[in-house]
Amino acid sequence: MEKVLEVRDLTIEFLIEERYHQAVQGVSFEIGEGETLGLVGESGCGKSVTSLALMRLLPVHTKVSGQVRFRGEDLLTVGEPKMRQIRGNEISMIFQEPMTSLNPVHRIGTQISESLILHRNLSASKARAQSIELLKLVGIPRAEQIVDEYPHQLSGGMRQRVMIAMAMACQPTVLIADEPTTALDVTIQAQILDLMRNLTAQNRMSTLLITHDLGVVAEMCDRVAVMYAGQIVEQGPVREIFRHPSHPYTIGLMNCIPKIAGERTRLVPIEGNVPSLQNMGTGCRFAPRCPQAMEVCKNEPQEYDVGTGHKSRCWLHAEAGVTSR
Amino acid sequence: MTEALLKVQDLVKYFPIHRGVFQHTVGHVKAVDGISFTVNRGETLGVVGESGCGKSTMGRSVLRLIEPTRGRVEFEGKDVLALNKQGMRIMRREMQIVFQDPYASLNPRFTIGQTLLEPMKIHHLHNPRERLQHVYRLLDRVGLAAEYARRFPHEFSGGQRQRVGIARALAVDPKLVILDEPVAALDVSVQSQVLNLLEDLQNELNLTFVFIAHDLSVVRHISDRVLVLYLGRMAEIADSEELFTHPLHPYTKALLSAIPVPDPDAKRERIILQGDLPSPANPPSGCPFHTRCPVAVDKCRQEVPVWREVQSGHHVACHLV
Amino acid sequence: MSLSESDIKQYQPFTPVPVNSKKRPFRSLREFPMLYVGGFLVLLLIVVALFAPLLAPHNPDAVFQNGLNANGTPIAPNGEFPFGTDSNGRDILSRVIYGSRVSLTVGVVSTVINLFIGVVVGLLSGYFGKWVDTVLMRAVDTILAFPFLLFAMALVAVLGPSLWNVLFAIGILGWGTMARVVRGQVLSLKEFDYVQAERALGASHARIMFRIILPNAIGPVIVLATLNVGMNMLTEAGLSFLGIGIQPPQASWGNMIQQGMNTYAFAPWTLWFPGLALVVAVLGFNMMGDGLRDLLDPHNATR
Repeated sequence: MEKVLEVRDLTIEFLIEERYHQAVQGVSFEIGEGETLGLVGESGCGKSVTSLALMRLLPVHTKVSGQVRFRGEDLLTVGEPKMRQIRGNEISMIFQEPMTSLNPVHRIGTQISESLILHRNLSASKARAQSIELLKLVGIPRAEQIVDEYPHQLSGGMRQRVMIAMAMACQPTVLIADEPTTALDVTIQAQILDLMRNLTAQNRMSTLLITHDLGVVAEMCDRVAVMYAGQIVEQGPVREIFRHPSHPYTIGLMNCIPKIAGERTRLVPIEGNVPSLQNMGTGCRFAPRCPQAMEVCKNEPQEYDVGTGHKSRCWLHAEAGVTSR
Repeated sequence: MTEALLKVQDLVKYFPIHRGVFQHTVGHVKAVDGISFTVNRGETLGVVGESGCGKSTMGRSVLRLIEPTRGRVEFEGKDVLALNKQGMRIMRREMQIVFQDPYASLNPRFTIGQTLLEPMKIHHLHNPRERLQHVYRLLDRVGLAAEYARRFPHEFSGGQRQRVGIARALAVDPKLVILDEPVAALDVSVQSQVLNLLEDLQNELNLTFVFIAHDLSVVRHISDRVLVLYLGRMAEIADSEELFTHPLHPYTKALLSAIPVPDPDAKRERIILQGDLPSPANPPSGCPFHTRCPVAVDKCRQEVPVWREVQSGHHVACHLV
Repeated sequence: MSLSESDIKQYQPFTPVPVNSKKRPFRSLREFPMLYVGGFLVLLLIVVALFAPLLAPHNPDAVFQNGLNANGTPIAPNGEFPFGTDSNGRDILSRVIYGSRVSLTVGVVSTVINLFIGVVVGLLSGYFGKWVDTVLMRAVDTILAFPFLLFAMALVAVLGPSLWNVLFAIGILGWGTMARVVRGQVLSLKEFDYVQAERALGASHARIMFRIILPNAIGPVIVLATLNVGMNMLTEAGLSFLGIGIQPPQASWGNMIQQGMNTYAFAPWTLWFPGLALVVAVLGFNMMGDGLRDLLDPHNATR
C-alpha cells in the first residue's frame, strides 16, 4: 500500500510558565491510501495536538520538530503559501464541536463555496451549485433551501454533516477527523459514522480518526495507534489490537469500559491519574499506574515488535528486539 | 422483599415559551410529559435517552429543584410535592443529587472541607468536632486523602472533583441519590474508578440510586432496571438484562444497535434511524417516535400508544408490540 | 478515625493550605501597567487627603495680605505660593490639597451607597426573577432614564447644598448600572450546579444569595465600583461648579474651577491646578478599574 502521510518523530513542546514542556514526544505513524488510522487516548494524551501539528495550526510559542511527509514534502518546513494550498484542499479537517467550527454569521452555502472558490477557482454560481451537490452527498434533505440558511437553524447532527460537506468540497487526499461524533447523540452518531465510512470508501480517502471511544475505533479503523501522555504506546492493525492488546495501558483501557453484552463483571480501573505536562518524570510514562511495572521501567522503553505491523512501547516486549526505524 | 422507596406518578414539566413585548406564552416545551415509575429500596434504576428526552429535567423535578407542572412524587409514602418549606428542608436530607459537570458543581471559593461542611451546617447536624470527623470519614469513604480538605477545587482532576461531589451528597446520609450523568464528563479510566466507587457505596450504605445517563453500556453495567425515555415520554422499562437482551420498543432496539461495540468482529445489524430528534416544543402527534420509527404504521401517527405491561416488570409504549 | 486536639485545631475552618508553587502574588508591572499606574495615583490621592494638614503650606481658607497683586489680580506661582493664589488671595496649592478630601469622601462614600443598593437590588432581582425582577428592573430603567446630573441637581436643590447632601444624592441615584451588572452575574451563576447543589441540600435563599452567589459575583462589581468612584468625583465637581455642591469658602475642586473661570484670562493657573488635580484623580481610578478588569479576567488567570 502506498503511504500517503508519514509522520516521523513528531515532538511538540508548549511554553508553560517560561519553560517548554513536551506535549507530544517521538510520535511516528503512517497512513496508507484509503486507510483509516485511529488515534485513541484519553484527554490530554496529545492526540488533538498531533492533528493540529499536521495542519500547522498550533499556536505560536510552540516548538515542533520531526517530519510530516506528504507527497514527498515535509509539511513542517514548506512555506506558509504552499501550506495554505494544502489545507482544506489536499488535507481537510472535521472538528468535534460543530456549532463553534461553523461561522454563525455566514450562510451554509457561502461557507462551503469558500474553499471551492479559493482552491478550485470556481465562479460563485458554480460554487453554489457544487455546494448543493455536496449537501446532497452528505444526506442533507432540502439541500436547495439549507444552502441559504444559517448554522443556528440546523441541529447538531446536520451541522456535523455540513462540516463534512465542507471538508469533502475539494476531494481531499487526507481527512483528519477530531472526535467527529463526540458531541452527538448515539443514534445521530450512527448516522454520521455511516456517512463517513461510505464517503471515505468511495473516494479512497486516507483518514486520521481521533477519538476516545474504542467502539468507534473498532467500527471505523483499519489500524490503531494508542496514545498515552504524549507518546504512542501501541500501534497495529485493528483486529490485532483488540484480539491481542499488548501494552498494559491498552489492556487496562479495554478492561475498564463497561460491556454492552455478556456477563456483567466488576470493572478493573486503571488506578491513579494521567500525569500533567509539568511532572512527566523519566522512564516509561505509564509505569506509575502500571500493574506490571518493573525495575527496568525507570528507563525509557523503545517501540518493540510484537507482531506483524504491531508495535508496543513496553519493556515486557523488549526481548522481541528493537524495531528498526 | 422489594419495597418501593420512590414512586413517581404522571410527572409533567412544561416550560412556557415567552414571546413579544408582553412576554405572553406562545407555547410550551414539553420536557417531561407524563412519566411514572417506582424505585425500590436498594436498587439502581437507570434512566436513558438522548438529548431533549427530559431525563435531567425529570431528575430535578423529583427533587423539586425544578417545580413540576403536575404529577405526584412519593418518598416513603410521603407526598413530596405537597410539602411546605420546612417539610421540604427535612426531605432534602433523604434525597440528594450528584451532577454531571465536575467543574461547575463545586464552589470555586470553598475549600473541599468547606464544601463538605456546608450540608452539615445547613441542617445543624453534629457538634463542630463531630463535623470534622465526618468530613474526614466522607473523604476516606470516597477515596480522597484527608489533606485535600484544605485544597480548592481547581487543584483537582475531574475524577477527584466528582468524588467530592459524591461525598457532598452523602454528607447528610441520604437514602436516595439521583446521579445526573455522573461519569459522562470523565475519561474512561477514571469513569471506571467512579463507577466502582458508586457500587461500593451502594452496598456499604444501602443506598438507592436513580442513574441518569446517555451511555447505554454504563447504564447496563450499573442498573438493576432501566427506563428508556424519548421526547419526555416513557418508551420502555424492564430489568436491565431483559431490556438489553430482549428490547421491545423500536426506539430501544435502534438505540442499542447504534452503540459502537469495541470489537472489530462483532456482528452488527444496525438500525440507522432517519432524521433528527423532533423538538420537544412541537412533538409529533400520536407516538412521539413515529417520525423516525422504521416500522411505523398509520395508527402510530394518530394514537398515543398506551403504557402497558407485556411481561412481568416489562412495560412498553408501542402499538406494535 | 480518631482525631487529636491539634488535628482539630489545625483543620478547624479548613482554611486553604498555601500552595507551594512559584506563583507570584504580585504580578509584574509589565503585565498590568494600568493597574500599577492607576493604583499609584489613587494611593497618592489617599495620602494627600489623609495628611492634608501636614502637606499644605498654608491654611486653605486664609486670605493673604500679600496674596494679590497691587492691581487686585491673583499672584502667579512662586516660592511662597507654588500654585499661585486665587482671586481672593488664597493659596491654591493648599486649597487643592484640602479639596482632595472632599473629592475622595464624596467619591468613595457615595460609591459605597451605590454598591449597597445596587448589590441588594441586583441580587434580589437576578435570584428571584419573575415579578421581583420585573419590578426592580423597571425601577432601574426609570432611574437610568433620567440624566444623572440633572436628577442629582434637582435633589440637591431640594435638600440644600452641602457636602453630605451631595454625597447622599449621588449615592442614592447612581446605583442603576451596578444593579444591572450584579443581576447579570447572578443570572448566570444561579444556573451553576454548585448553586443547585446548595438548593438540593436545603439551604435558605439568604444563605445561597449571600454566602454562595455573592462572593462569586464580586469580581466585576469591584471593577465597576472602582470606575464609579472616579465618576462620582466628576459629578461632585460638576455640582460644585454649578454652585449647588460644596459651598465656598470650603475648598472643592469643582468650585475652584468655577472661580478660576473668572480669572482664567489673566491668571490661568487658577483654573489649571484644580482642573489638573481632578483629571489626575479620575484618571487614577479609571486606570485602576481597567487594570483590575484585566487582572480578574479569567483569560489572564494562571490558576
